Amino acid sequence: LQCSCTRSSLASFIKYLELEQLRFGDDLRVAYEIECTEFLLPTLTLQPLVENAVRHGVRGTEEGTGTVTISSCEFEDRWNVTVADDGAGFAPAKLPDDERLHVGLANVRERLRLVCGGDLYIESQPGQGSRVTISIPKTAGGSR
Amino acid sequence: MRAFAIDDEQAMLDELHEAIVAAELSAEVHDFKRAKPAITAIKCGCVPDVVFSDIELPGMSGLVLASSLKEAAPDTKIVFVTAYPDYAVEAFRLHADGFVVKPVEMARVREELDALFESSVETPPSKLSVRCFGSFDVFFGASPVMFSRTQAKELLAFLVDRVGGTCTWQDFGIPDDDIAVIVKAIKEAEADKQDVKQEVKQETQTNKGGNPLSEADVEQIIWNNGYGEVVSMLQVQLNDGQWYWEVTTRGSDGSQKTWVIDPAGNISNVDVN
Repeated sequence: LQCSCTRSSLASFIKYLELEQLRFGDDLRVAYEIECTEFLLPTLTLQPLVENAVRHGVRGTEEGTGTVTISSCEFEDRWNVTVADDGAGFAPAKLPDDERLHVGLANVRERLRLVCGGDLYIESQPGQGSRVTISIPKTAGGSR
Repeated sequence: MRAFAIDDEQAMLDELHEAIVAAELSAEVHDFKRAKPAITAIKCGCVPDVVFSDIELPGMSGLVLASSLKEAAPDTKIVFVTAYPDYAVEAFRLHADGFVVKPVEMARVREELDALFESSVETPPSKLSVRCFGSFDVFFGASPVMFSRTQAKELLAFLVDRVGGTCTWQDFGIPDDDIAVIVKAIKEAEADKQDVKQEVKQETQTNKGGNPLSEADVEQIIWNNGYGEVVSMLQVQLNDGQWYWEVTTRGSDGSQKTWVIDPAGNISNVDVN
């Protein structure tokens, strides 16, 4: 099973975030801006991004507090799912230095390309938070 | 005892706090969700005896905390609390004083505290101390010494005051007549004690049996005969109804021999060759 519907993916990481909120209380805020769920998403693509946003983004700052925002929206040719945080951020160009981050994000990008011809976009700067977007093309069989 | 509890997760912090209090009821526990405020508190003079800290903390990790702590409060002990036993090696490389794996149990906290403060906090000093300020009191360790006579306590207080200098009964203010009475009482008490000792000795003698030779006599006989050193001796009653000493000796060549000594002091070897 390489893809699961976005609705069930959402359900599982909402649970995950609820658990993290139990641990960190008010230190971790979560916002959802889900506009569409009627598309298929390769498995194990969203979860690592959400974990990164909590562990390295929000918990990586001096204060250890922040907000993780998860959004999805539909375009003419694709669906986008974005995981954003206002936490520590990182320099995307420097990624190869940090093996753990590098491997995680590279894996997700590779999966997206192989499974549905999708891609991963990273916008981040140290201290400015980060914004990682999964893009699923409608043409490559991702559509229902 | 003052302790710091540091954990960024409220639930874990509560658990840690409760475990410390349960392990050491007298502990004054301060909670921190970050390492930095804890260091600030120490720099402001609130120095704990021990810090229980999570390792993964936002801003400043517990491992960095350990090194700052060694600078700010060298005498403060640090015990790491973590869900990841893999951190243990790294923790001890930074000279952690202890390590507890989550979930934190009261018994484990107690163990760590015992290991850290065994000599200094848990056991009160077992020596005699005298307190002169206020009412005069003498303590052995933590408990006061009871005097059966007030005069004895007064006398001790007087002698303590003289710090080893010469003093007479007159200095203490006891009339000569009373001294005579006291000395007589002491002598009588001593005599009583002697009597008791004598009786006890006699009783043990009779209980032991009928051999009139004492243990010292037996050793003398063995010595006189050059049989070596005595390893053991006991009294046995043989078929003739008499009590004999049965003695085991070790000769200069290391061989053991058994001897029997009759009430008259005659010694014979009973080893089966």
